[in-house]
Amino acid sequence: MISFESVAFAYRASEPVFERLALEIGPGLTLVLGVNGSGKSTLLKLAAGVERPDTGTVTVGGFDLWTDEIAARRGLAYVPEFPDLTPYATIREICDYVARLRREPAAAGREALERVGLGPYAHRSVRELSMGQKRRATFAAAWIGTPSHILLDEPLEALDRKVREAALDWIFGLAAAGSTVVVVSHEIEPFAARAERAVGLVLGRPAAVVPLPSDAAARAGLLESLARGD
Amino acid sequence: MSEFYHASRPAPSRGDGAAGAPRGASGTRGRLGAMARFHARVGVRLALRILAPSLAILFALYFILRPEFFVYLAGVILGDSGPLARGAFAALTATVAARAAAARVCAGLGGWMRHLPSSAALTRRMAVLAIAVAEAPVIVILAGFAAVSARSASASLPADLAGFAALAPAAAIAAVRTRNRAPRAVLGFAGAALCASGRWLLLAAGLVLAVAAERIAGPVRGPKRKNSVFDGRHALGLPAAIARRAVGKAIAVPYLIGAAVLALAAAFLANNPLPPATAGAAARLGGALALTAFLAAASSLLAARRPPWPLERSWPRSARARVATDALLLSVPAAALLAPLAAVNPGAIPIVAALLPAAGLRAAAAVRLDRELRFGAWGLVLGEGALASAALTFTPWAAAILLAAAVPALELAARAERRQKVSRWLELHHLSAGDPLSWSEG
Repeated sequence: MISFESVAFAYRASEPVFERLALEIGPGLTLVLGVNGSGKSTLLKLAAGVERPDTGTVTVGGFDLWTDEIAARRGLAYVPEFPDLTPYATIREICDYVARLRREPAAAGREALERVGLGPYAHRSVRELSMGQKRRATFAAAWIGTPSHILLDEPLEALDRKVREAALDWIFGLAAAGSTVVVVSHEIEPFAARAERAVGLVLGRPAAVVPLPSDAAARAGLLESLARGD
Repeated sequence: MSEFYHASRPAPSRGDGAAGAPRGASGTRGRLGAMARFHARVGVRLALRILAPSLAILFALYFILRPEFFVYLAGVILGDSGPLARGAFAALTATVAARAAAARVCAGLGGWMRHLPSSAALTRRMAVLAIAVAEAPVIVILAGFAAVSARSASASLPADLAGFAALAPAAAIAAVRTRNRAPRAVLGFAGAALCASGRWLLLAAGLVLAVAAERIAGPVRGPKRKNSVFDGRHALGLPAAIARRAVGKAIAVPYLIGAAVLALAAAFLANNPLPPATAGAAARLGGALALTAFLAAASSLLAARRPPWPLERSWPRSARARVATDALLLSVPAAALLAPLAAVNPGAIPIVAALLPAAGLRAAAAVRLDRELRFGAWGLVLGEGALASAALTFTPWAAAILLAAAVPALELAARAERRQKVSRWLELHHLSAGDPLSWSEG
């Protein structure tokens, strides 16, 4: 469960993104939809502990992200839209570091890199990778351990077909196993059939938090209207 | 592997024309004008970055050293020396400024810019234009020196001013990054030196050399893309290794600044017979200020070269651990400055060392606050460090208070770490080293 309680956040004081946001996202696959600039990525950054709310609290699995920093983040896996990996470390070093922080064996980092097909490039830094490889590297970091809360911002962008299928299997597997999976994506179709609910954001306000109908056509229509911000 | 811009593009048949470009003289003129305006603006922005610190330093020196000193200095470097020596000095000064601008201008000509309709020669000339505009403040200062210098009989002010006007593009040609590096740099520098010699005949020869250098320069070259070879040492963990790699050899700058402060203190103590208590106070002041200067420079460097890493904040590591690592990384190298203090006044060492834990943590906080502060990380560290240094100078027992201050300093630093808005867009004024969005670029 990821909870936002009275969350306010602004990159600049004069331009608030969220004002008194209250939202609970339970286990299963949740799609966050909306037009560009509606606050989807910022919502994920707040849930991932990348940005701190100006006021209010964000809890992950019952732990406050900013008072129980380590406990809240132990089961958290976040794949940002922009693969911002430091250029001052190799991707193997980064994955080994994540494995240690998540209390996983050192081999877990290497296995994750192999799984995304980056084993032969493990000694490289992000500067020496293509955009698709950078995206795969951030996926590898997310795949280490068994996360209970997964936050994915445009997860399928720039991935080749093989890794894309593996990523979808991983996402659906975790959602089916009871993890909380939140996906921000303009590409709705791959997730439409498996999503349990959708959050539609309009200018930083959740216009709708809805369970999705079982009928495929109704589901597709609802997702489409939420994605368009209608 | 170097990137060579337009290296494989065939030369246009006439002037700078290229496939798909507007046809006709007016279209070509319009396109040339647009390119020239764009690159001149790039140069102006860079010039403002050079101009502000240059003028600040000049005004500070002017008020400290008085006009007589400047007249004397101008006479020494531009009036009394021979034409070739004065030309070489002016060319060296202008080329150093041009090289600083060239690194930024040429890096900006890579990537997307390469698909625009422009020939290799035109791109190079536009880069030279931007660099020449960027170094203008330095040229103006040199011309000012020439105007006030005592003139030798054979030199004329018009020749000097014309020479300095030609010096800007000549130095830009010497500095622009192109494929045929050595011949272009040698001819360009020689041309720049002759242009600034203050003699009409040598100026004409300098212009010929500068034009020759431009013709043989070849296509503009981007920054060298280096493979990342890391030493694999993680004694203090990966975050510490990342900070160490980000700062790299530039750590020498904070050491030089700290050592300069210590040297001043040592010179003061060596040349002034003082009672022991006063000498001790002066040693404490010198030592504490040296540590403060080191921490101010090092924190500023760390803030610029290792910006916040948003993804790392989603991993299970506390804000306290992150700032404590940085505080260690900043204060342990600073402690090396205590060793020379032993030669000045060994008794001052434990008192001055007490500054390090709290000052290191404040420096770690300053790294987080750098972009919000008017004077950046260095301003905060320098201001607070100067106050703490004064306290240690007059009341040595303040060392105990400073040691205890490490506890609230850790909390304040952790708070600063948590409340950073790490994904907010900020203009960084060409400082790509500190821009996470430029991390994946060359």
